[in-house]
Amino acid sequence: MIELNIYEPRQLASLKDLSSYTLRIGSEGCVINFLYLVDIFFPMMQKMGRWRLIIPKLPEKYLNIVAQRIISLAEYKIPFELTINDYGFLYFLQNRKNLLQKNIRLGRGLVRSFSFAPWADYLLRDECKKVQTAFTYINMKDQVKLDYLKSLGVKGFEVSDYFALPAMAGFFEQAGFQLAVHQNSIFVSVGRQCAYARHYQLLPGQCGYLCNKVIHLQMHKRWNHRTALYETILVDQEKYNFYALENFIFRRGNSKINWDNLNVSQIVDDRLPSGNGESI
Amino acid sequence: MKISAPVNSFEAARHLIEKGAREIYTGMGDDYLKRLSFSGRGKVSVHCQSLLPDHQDLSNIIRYAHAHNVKVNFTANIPILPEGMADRELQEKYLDHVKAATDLNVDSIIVGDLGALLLVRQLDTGIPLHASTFFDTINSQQLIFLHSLGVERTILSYHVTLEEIETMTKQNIHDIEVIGFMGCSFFNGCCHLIHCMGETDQQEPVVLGVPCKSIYRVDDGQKVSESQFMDFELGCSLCLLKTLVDYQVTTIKIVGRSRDYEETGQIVSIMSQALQMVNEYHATEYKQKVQEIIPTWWKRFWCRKGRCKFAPVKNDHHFFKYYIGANETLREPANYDRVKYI
Repeated sequence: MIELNIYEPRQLASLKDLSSYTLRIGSEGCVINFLYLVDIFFPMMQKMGRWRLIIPKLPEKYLNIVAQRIISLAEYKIPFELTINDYGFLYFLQNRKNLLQKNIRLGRGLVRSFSFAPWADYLLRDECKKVQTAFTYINMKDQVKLDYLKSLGVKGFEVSDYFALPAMAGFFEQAGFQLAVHQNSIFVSVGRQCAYARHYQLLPGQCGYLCNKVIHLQMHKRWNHRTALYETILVDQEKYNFYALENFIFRRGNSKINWDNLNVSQIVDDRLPSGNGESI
Repeated sequence: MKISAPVNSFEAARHLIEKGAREIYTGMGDDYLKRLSFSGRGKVSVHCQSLLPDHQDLSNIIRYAHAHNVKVNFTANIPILPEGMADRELQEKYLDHVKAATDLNVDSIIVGDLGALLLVRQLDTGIPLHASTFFDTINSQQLIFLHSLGVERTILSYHVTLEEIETMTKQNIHDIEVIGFMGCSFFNGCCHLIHCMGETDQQEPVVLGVPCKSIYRVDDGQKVSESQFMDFELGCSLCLLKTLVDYQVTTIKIVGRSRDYEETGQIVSIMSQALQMVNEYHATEYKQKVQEIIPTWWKRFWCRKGRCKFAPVKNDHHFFKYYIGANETLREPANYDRVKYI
């Protein structure tokens, strides 16, 4: 199954067969964007397609507002699924059984791996083989945790596009959890603050979704916290190439994996640099 | 309100308790991991010194702390704890490690991962569990969630606002600890710009540096510039200490396990003096008086750059204005009946 990140209504016009996609709206990092996108896509959600809503980590004052939106959409019988990046919100849904049926996944704000750090191999260089192997896996590869999350209604996880996924896919399939892979991107970090807003000298909420295009970041000087000086970079420059989109930071994924051989959903975002210059 | 200070040796514990720490937090060395540790940091600091006391040292620290009525919170907050390919050796070693510390009579166990929390709960030690800042708690539902799993104290995210602290403390779910000195630019529970976690080497101790504070070449498609694009660290909460006391925050934590303990001692000492002032002065008077005890280096690092935690205090150039969910006007509640089809 292909899932498409949608951020403009006009994208829908270019899709030939909507029934072969799940359309994803929302944000992995910014609740302002989540509300903006849900509201502009609401008329289309009523008319067409299968939808997945991506809910970021939620500041206190947005908990009820986001909950209201989700409840409203459910009342309109819109077919949607949920990706949640906040344990608090997941727990909040426990008292709303109708929403628990929404094929809930945990997103990349909660699913992490040591290997998403560009220099993970350097950090793990002296650890024994078993430790190195365990740390290549995502934090959800844990039967105790999976049993618990299943009891909360979680059906799957969204993960970055990285080398260890083929080794884990069978485990999650056997445990009854779906994996969905973000093609061409490895999640690096997300903040409460908006670097885009600062870059463009705007304020969150007045930013007009300017963060809807990728900013390329390349480390130029390393901050040495021992000497409190900026110094030259010591590890491979390639490891310090990042991209910013909304308020999260990512790096290019390992696109060499043949996903067709694995039972995973593929998440496509045509804003991301794809490696071969192609977009869907 | 108590001050919680980071400790990495017996000398550090003694020094920081003398300076006014009423709680200390520390991990313990282990023989299984080489550079990483089970405590949310690597084993060695940027100064190439051990960050973790050994079993005997920890025992001495606990004895000394308890004799001075100071609690010892044990950091078992490794942020990621997966199973191996076909075994659970990493998790079993983690549990052995936690058990060894609980046998020494630590006062609480700080966990940093949901799986670790579930595992430690199964040990049924009777020792209170604290949820680390790695849980990135910024809303009260997450407090309720953690409470349902037996957590008795949550260390809130670095990125929490004063308004959120007030809401969460008012709900009286369980004890709240906030980080009062230093922080991270990103939610550290899901940040993969991992540093201070095993990279340190005698030849090049600061090989990675702090990636989020570094200078980046920023290409937004229209212009290329250089900036500290990712740097949003907020560091100081002194001016708001009285408000935090009023909100009944249980503990204020000072970050910096890899810092030299004498430097940490200065910070504990200033925090301790400020806490005394909280009891002596009214709010406005407190804000003026507290300025008198802040050293120049502190003002240069935090005050002049507007790096105030939890809420902006006085600098117009504060970083806080870029927080999502802190300042902006809320969108109108959804009323989809009003939405017309396009």
